[in-house]
Amino acid sequence: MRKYSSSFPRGVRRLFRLPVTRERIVQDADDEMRLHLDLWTQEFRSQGMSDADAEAAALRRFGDPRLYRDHVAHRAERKARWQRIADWFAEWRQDMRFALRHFAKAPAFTAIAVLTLALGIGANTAIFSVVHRLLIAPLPYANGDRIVALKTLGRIGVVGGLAGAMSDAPADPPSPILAAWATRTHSFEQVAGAEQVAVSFLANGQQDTVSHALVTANLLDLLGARPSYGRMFRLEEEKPGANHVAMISHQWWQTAYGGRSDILGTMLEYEGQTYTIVGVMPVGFTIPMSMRAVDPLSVDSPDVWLPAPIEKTSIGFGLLRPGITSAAATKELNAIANAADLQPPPLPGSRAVTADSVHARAMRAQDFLGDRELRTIEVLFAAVGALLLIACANVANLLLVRGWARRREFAIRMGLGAGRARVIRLALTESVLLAVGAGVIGVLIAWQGLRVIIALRPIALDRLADVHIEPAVLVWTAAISIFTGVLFGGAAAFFVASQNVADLLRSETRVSSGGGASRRVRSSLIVVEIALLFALLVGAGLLTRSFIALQRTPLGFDPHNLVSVDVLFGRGLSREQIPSIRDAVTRRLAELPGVTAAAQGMVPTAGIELRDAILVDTPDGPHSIAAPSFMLTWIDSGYFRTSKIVLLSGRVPLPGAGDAAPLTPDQPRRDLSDEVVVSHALARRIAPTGNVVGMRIRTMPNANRGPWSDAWSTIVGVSDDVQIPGPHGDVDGLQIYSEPGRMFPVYVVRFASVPPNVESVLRQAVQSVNPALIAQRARIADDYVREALAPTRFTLALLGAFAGVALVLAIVGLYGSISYTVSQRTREIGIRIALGASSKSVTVLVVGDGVRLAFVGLVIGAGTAVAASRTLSSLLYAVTASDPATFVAISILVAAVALAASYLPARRAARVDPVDALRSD
Amino acid sequence: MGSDSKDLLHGTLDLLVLRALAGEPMHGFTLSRWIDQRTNGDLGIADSALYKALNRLEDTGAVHAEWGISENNRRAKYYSLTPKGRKQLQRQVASWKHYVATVNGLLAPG
Repeated sequence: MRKYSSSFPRGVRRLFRLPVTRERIVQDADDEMRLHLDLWTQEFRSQGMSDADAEAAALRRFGDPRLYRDHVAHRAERKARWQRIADWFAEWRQDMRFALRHFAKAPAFTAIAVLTLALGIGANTAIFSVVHRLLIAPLPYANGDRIVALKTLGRIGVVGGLAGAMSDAPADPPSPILAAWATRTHSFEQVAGAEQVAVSFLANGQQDTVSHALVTANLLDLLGARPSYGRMFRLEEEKPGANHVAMISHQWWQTAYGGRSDILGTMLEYEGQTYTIVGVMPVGFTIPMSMRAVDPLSVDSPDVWLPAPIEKTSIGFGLLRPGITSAAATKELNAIANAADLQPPPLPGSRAVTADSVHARAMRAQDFLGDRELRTIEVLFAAVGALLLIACANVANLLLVRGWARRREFAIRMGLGAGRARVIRLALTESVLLAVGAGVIGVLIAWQGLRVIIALRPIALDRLADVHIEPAVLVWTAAISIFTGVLFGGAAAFFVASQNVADLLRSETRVSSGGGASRRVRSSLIVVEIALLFALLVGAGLLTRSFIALQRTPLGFDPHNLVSVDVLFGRGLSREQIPSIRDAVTRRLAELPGVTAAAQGMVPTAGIELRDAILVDTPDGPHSIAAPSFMLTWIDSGYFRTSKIVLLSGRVPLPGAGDAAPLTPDQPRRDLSDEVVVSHALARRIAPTGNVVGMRIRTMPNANRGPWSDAWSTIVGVSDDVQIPGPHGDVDGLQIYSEPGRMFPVYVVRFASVPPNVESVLRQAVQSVNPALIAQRARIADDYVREALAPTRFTLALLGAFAGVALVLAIVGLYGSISYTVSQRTREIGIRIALGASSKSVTVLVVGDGVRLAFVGLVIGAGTAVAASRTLSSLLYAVTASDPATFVAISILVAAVALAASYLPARRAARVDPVDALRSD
Repeated sequence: MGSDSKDLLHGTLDLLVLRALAGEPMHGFTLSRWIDQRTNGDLGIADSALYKALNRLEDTGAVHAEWGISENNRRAKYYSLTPKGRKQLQRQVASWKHYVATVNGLLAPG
């Protein structure tokens, strides 16, 4: 037997292989069958048969040829289909191999391109993770998109951690309204309630202060969550008598019980009552959408959960019926809340209750983000978009430069018969491969970037604490990677492939400066890059100025080593004992080693924000001050000394100058003691020019707060304004300091140096006065100040990083492009020099190129920046969005960078030896 | 001499084809004649069924097909066993023998 081509190596044989087509297979099978029949006919004839008989016998032993042909046709169809797929894969693998070989040959180019794109993609992945966490899937529960919090807006003042941060903040509705919502609503499948209280538990044989929460039995069910161990409460366990069951947090189960599996059935003891643990909450579970932003440094995640009927709770949640919007639900909530039977009768001394006094709102988790936070996300999202465009422009530039260098290779490929489509596909494979590689590195960059984001997150964005790269984010990353690959690669590929082959080959020998069209495209890319860079730098510049201004703003007090602590009065203390115990605690705290001063009062700027009207007693009768709200802080006489607030005039209230609030609920209430101190800003409102010491004021609540006293309070002193600066809505430093009210006291303690275990030091000191006192939530004033700067620091750090990366990329891009142009124009420059051009004029020529591009970029960039900075303006402090100084400074910076990036190549150009230049080529 | 209706079970037919190709590479005619001679035509296999078996074995990779020139100088497709086909043959021979022995044991008197 002889075979064709058997001595050729496999690759060569494959090269000459006939394509496997259907026709070919059918034809071959027919030939084979014919040969078979012929040979059998011949065989039979040689056995002595006649020609006709032999032929018939051969056919008979073969079987029905038509059936066989059908079989062959089927097989041919199947084989051809597989072959097409295999061919496609083979070509694809060939493209991949080619691309990889190409990258290996140009490692510097590959590294720069991949790293550039990786930075762009990484920044986008990180910010998209943030967007995903905050806006797209903010609640990690199965029913996440239908869960709303049921809130009322701006009705009653709330305890504030940061002055003004909670203006118009949503508040929890009074329990009767929540209960009414639960029973009367049609918008919700179910309504659940929660309430957070701090109490002391005897757990595990050991007294422990834990935060506890009351929840209705359906809370987890509403959220679509399950206990991580044991069971949730049953409906009947909400009722008194049956409610001696508890759930504990997963965290507490681990720390206090070591994650024991026999935890179920264990008893907790609290105030003589025992509770059986029936379940463990999901990992990390806390009351969702609770108002962390209001008193950011204080709300602990509850550790013990007890059942309660909805009437005992005020933090409400609803599960929207499918198809019902939160807006529609809000409408219904308002109608129910303002129904006549829920309104208490008006009381003397207070304003009349209007029909729509309650403003309720069904809030999705997204709705808790303030305007400021939304703007921050918007700005960052735009910034990473710009960064990605810059990266794309850079890589497209690189590819164009390389594409031009490789035009001969492409021309030869096309000259040898490679289709235009095949060449474009090859180029696209390369760029998509680059982008996918960049995507992988980008995810790593984003993963590290998220750690920075978590560390810097301001409290308003506290939900970022557990942000991570979700699968949905990876899908997005893959999409933008491939998109950018097609975007920058497609342009370059199309450009190269659209050239005429003959022109391409001919242009190789022509004196050229890199092809007019390619140059124009590269110039436009540089202009776009500089414009975007300018806008980013302006944003970063404006935020830097804001941040500096924020840091320089005088606070009016000294936050350094100042700590505040809440003291709760446990069971067994009568209200009459409160004043003397309060003072005893002050004395005890002041005696602590390392403490220089202690007093009652909150960290300056914190207090209770009241929207009540302030009335001033004038000879013409009471007159009210136009102020939307003011802050009220309960203090004693040592407060100003302890927090180092300057008293501008007058004196502090004398001790025992009358308690602000009555000790029994049925007496008329008042917010202010007989003697008060007002801040300088409030004094200006009361009497714009004159002295306010000695004047009398009182408050008039605009909502029903019980029987109200009409007694006047005398202003005895004016204190310096305190503020923790931040570009948020302010209460304008309007502050009233009054002797303590009925509330549990808060203390400020000034240390020489804050000890690391400050909370336990304070707790022990307080408990040594009376064991029924519970000290909790030690807050360090420095943290408040840092926290006030955090939003600006967060935005600045990220935007600054993006702008910095953009700056480096733009320098690389501009330098690369100009260098390349110079290397292409070597011959032209050589001629110029030969004809007498000075090296200076050559330098000017080349630098001029770069500066021209930079100038066009600057003009477009300034326009972009002005348009974009409107969005930024709400994030700025003490600087306007069109701040001329910033614009000028950034213009100078960008121009300098463009000059420097062009100067180096220009120097090289000026040193060109005309003889060498003309000889080369 | 037989028709498609007398096709043996695929597996048995495959076994015969593999065995036939265990020696020299063959084209279809030689293969059918080889089986005929070894069995005196008793099996009555239709030649089209042999070709189907060859196609099938080629598609599964047990048999390699290559065009060559036949003894009388005509273009013919030669079939040979691949290493995979050789292994398949060993396996099928073993299992056939086992089967026959088992059935014989069953049919034995007593």
